[in-house]
Amino acid sequence: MNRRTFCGLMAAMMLALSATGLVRTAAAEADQAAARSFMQTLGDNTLAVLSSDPTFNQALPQLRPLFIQNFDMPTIGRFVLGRYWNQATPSQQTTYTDLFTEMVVRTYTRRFVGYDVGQTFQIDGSRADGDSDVIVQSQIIQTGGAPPIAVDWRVRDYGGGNYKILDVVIEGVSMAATQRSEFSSIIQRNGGSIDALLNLMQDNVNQASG
Amino acid sequence: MTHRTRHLMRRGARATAAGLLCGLTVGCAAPQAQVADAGEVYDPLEPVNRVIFDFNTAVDDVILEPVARGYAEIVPPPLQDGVTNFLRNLRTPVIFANEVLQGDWDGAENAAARFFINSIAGVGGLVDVAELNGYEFQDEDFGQTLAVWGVEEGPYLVIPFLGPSNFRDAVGTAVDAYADPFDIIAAQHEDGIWFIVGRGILSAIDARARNLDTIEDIRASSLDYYASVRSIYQQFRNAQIRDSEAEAEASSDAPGADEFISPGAPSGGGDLPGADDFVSP
Repeated sequence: MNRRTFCGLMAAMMLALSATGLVRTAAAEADQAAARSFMQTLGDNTLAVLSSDPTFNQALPQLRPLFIQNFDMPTIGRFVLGRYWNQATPSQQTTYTDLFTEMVVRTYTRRFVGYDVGQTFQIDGSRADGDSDVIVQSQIIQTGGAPPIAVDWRVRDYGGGNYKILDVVIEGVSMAATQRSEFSSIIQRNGGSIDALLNLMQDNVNQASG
Repeated sequence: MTHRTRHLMRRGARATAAGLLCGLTVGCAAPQAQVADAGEVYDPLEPVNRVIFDFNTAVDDVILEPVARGYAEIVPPPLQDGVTNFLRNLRTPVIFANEVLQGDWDGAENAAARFFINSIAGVGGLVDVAELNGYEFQDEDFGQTLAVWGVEEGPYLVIPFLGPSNFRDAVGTAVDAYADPFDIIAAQHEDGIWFIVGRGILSAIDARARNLDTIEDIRASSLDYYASVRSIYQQFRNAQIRDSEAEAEASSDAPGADEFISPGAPSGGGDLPGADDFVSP
């Protein structure tokens, strides 16, 4: 191989590499833009429900389908149960996933119903995490000079424009990690009983009405 | 009052104030996580901690929360902001010292600028003029400084009146309280104890009032309030420390992409789930 061929090859390789890089970067940016727009749409739809200043019981039937469609409840629930997921019977897993979904729906409904009309939701940016996930960074701008609250949303691309939320990280505190720590503590304190956790979840769902 | 008595009272009052401030509120109340399992906290003293936690929660229910709620309803919001600004300004010399100890020169400059601008143009700290000029409040404490120096957090700890902490942060709280220049000056005056006590009480009410909704939300959505607060405290502290280390982007306690798997996907055995246990759907 003479010098000219070598240089030509190198140039071709570098060109190819950088072209791949460009394509990949462009694709990643398109994914991130889609994830941000997914969050923006969800935020707008949620605010539309809240604009009439509904009570908890009025908002619940409207927000439930929105949350169930846009949060990947089974995957979050499995993460939260951690190592106990595999110890649970299929019937316990089903009961657990149903209760977990209802708990999340009610927790977020309660949070949003308490949301001030003056507060605004603002998307600041995003970053990729792994091949399929995008962290969408947002702020809740509060009224009355209180500092904004930083909220990061872990959004996963299931293909075909189908995005779902996996985790909500408020000021560095992951909801999924907090619940996982809490659930594992409950099961451990009850001698490894998953039914003890299920009973507590049932109580919480029965109570959480506003 | 002898100097020694004043000194001990000063320490006690400040520690209580810091405790109430940090302990019972989520402002400080945060959690964290370990590498093995995000959100798991090392808590060998759990039985004792739970008793103290229940005591603190009772004190909060009976005294602090009702007082803070009354304060939030009665005192006009601009005056509440003035109180927050004033208390922060008093803490700024300690924040400055911690920025220096962490080697964060930009942070030290920011704290120094805030202190001079707000003390003079902000009428003794009541108005946060500095923030309007781009010098934003940043909280630092000796617990964070120790973490930046590489000190591990040690066992989780719940301190009476003060709330969630750990061995490292308890030392930090004591050092910050002991080194506060305003309290040192106050302790040298005959009636200075009232400044120290009043500051402590006001700090507790201010912090609790600013976290009324947050704490209510955490309680309502928790199945085990103690375990939730423990995890939140650790994650929140770690987030503050990452900010201190300017590594917010580099690492996070929050679970990563490979930790969320659909229920249908297979997973391995083992005690704690690791990255290998998780397969993408």
